Amino acid sequence: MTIGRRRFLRGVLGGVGCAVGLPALEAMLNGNGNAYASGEALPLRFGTWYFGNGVPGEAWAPAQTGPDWMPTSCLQALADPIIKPYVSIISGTDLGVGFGDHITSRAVAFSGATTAPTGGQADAATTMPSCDQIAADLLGATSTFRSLELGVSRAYIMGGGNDEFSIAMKDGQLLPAEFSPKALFDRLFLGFSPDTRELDTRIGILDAVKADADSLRARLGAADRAKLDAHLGGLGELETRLLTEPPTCSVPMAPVDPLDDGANEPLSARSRLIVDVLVQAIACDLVRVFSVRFSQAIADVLFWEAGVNEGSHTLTHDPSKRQMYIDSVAFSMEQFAYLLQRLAAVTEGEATLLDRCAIYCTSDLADGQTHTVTDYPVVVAGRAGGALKSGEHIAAAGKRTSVVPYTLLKAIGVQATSFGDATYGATEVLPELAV
Amino acid sequence: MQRTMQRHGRRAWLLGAALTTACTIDMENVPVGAPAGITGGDGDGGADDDGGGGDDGTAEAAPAERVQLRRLTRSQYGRTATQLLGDGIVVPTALPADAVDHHYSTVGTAGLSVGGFDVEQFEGAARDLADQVMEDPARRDAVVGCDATAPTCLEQFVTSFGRRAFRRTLTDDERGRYVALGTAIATRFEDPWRGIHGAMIGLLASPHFLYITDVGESDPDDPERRRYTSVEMASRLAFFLWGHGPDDDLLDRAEAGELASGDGVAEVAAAMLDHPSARGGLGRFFGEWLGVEAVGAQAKDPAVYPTATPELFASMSLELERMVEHVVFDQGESMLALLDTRTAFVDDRLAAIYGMPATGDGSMVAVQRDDDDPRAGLLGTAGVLSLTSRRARTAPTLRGIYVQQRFRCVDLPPPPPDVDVEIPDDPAGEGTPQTMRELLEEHDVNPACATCHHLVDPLGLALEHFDPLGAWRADDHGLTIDDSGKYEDEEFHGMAELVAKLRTDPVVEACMVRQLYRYATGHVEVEEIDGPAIDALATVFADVDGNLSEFVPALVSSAAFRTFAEVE
Repeated sequence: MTIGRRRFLRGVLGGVGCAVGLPALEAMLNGNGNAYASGEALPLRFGTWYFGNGVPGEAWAPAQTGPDWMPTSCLQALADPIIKPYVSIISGTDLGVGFGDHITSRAVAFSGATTAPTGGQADAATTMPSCDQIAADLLGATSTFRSLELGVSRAYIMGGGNDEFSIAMKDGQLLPAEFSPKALFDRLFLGFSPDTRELDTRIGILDAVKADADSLRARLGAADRAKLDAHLGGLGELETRLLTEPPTCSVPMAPVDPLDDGANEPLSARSRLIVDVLVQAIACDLVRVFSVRFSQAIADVLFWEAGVNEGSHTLTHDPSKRQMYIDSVAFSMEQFAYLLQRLAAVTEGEATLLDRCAIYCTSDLADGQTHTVTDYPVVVAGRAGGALKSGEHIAAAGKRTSVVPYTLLKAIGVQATSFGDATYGATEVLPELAV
Repeated sequence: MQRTMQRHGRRAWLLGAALTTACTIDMENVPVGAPAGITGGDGDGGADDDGGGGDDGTAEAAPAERVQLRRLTRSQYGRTATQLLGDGIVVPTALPADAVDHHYSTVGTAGLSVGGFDVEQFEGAARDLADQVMEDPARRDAVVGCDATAPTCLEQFVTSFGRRAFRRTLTDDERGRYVALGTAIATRFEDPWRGIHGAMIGLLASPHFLYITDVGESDPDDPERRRYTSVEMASRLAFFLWGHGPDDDLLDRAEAGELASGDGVAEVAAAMLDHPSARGGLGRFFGEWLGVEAVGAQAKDPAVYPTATPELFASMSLELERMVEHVVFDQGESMLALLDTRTAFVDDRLAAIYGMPATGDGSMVAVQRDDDDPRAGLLGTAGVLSLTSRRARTAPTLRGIYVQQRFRCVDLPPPPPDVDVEIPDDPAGEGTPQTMRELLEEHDVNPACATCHHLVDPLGLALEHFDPLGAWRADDHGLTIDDSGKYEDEEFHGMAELVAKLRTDPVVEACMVRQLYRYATGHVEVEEIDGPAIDALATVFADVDGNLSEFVPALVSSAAFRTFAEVE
């Protein structure tokens, strides 16, 4: 990646909103389209996609194992022939916590480690990082953005205030999520300044702010020093990004945020717009790691587009509305399928973006009615550039759920020998999934 | 009894969305416990606690190191931006999220660090604000205070604006740093205003602006504690009482050392309550305590409640704000009077719910409730009654939780992990309509549920005459409503008697002190450390009859607000 992109842009355009043709990286690939011309491998991507409140067990896992699984009511959308070969349904794993309380179980599902239940949402996480943040340590180091945390439904836990946090965990905290497609777009594609003076000014200002942070840090105790270290890290990341060259790919049309009247959230519209921007960003190699919080645990998300008239958490506990529960999860899977379809539609050399993704999709419970955590609902999508088998329904009874994210991390090249903690984590991959 | 349980068991499972899974439901919505390391201290802590609060494990928990950096909440950021840059400044909406803990953004956000995305948002917001200042010559002149082309203007600006932004006089290093930054930018752009603009961005993006700093110094009066410095006290007071940073006058007094003593703090705080920002600033406390924002953000099932529009919920939250303003500020009554005030604030939408005549012009007016009106105070508002209901039905558990958490400071634990989710099947019960009380019976008869639900359900069940929007209903879909309840094992009936019990319960009085303390300090009390101070403050609260303008100076001048325990 040595093409002097900023120089190019300054010379040609001299302004914000640069445009070169898609596909972004084509010009930099070798003749076979399987690596950069420099010989450097094409990047792998890692993502998580989370939906709250579990699944109706009877309508989730297919009856057949292997490649010929027939979709259940919940999984219809994933049977789209374009994406089905990339999708693995993994049933039968056990999260290991015994009883799911939504928040702890959610943390375990993504980090393989527990947390003590705490008060605010922001610290309702583990002290161990979620799998996407482990992936970001590896894949995000060389991309413009280390990772993206995204949210779709804003519905929150009653009494919990605004819940604008993702399900990505780092440094013992949930990371904030972006819910606005427009703001996401601006951040990804318009944050670059082609004017040297403007750029130098911003860097100069950040340097002054860093000096302030350094002097403040010296006066603090350990806990608040750590807080300021995170702040300094963020300042450093921003500086690095400003000095990174802007994207060479064409800047897509800026999205307009769908109207949200407060009663009926524009779930599918917002989800699709966010996915559109995300996939563009991945195609441009601005980011390689993402996590999507489609809907929140315990929140009463109203899936009105699925013909549902009760908040999602309330209806999971109402057996008379079981069909609405099924319809809600089927609707959620449609939105997940859209992400996969978009990734499959972008060619990158000889393959598609979906080929080079490893995506882990799960919830905070198995069955939301009974709060079980056995037979955990897990979907994996993508082939991690050939390191993952795909297209099968794998019955993995007796396995810990955490073997799945661990397998995905190994597939993208993470060198760890374990994932999570000793109780809920994993030290072995799922053989049916790993190549 | 056994037969009753059997017969109702299955129906409870089938009908009551919130009641099924035995006792887990509705309890899940309870923000649980305190931040790690600050556990306990939150059963209501008083001698009257009948147990079952959240005291378990308190003894083992080591007190957390007191937080020294508290990130500004969105509200604090916005109000401070307006204070610094003038009315009409548009506060950027893309700001880092607050966290909420024990109802308060000040508590939750104190625990947050500012990571990558947050730094980006704060930097973007600083640029946005500085751009707005420069685009409006009148605002620019007011904020900058000098002509940038004058040779001393940049340094003058960094000194004066920097002091307001950092809430203290800048050190020589800091002043030098921002003057150098501004000079370099001005030179680069050959525009002195650009230098001011750049320095302003830096000051507004600095951690000294973004965090309230509570480092403290050794306390000459108590070697075991530290006290906040006079200058730190200015920010503590200002953010509590005004919701934004200190002004020049307060900084002058702080830097003169007036806030180093309790007496000084009490005197200054009393004067601060007369400041125009005090109502909005303290109003923020009431809003978070009572969940006013959540009231406004509700939605109900439109098929059942076609009048439940966003405008109705806006009216509900406005009524709560007006009620607080009237009782606490205008009338200077006890905070306890919020529980039983007979004054309601009603517009046409609320009048329809309350069965009152329309006000006519759509505005909100104060109305005295009739003597036979069964409603009283906060609990009688449509806002609180609907907030604690589901989309299409009441939720006595949620109503009980609201009372226990907000008025009695009882922290409720999450459902036990071994909760039995199997409820006996009884087809004979199918098809027979049941009251909420009958549906909730499982909570009462199943010991695993009863431990917690006995604290909440009997309070909420007494309010069953109020439907999910807060309207009075004589019966529940044709079934007779039994509005009996239990308050600390004493039987009572209906809202009026519940309110009367709350009004005279010393636990409620002490809880109001705790709520104020948590919001004001951004810290949930640790019982062994803060308990005695809070008890002492509760006595003061009683002595001043809950009058906020008398109690606040006592609170902020107390050791509990001015000093903190050293933790090794």
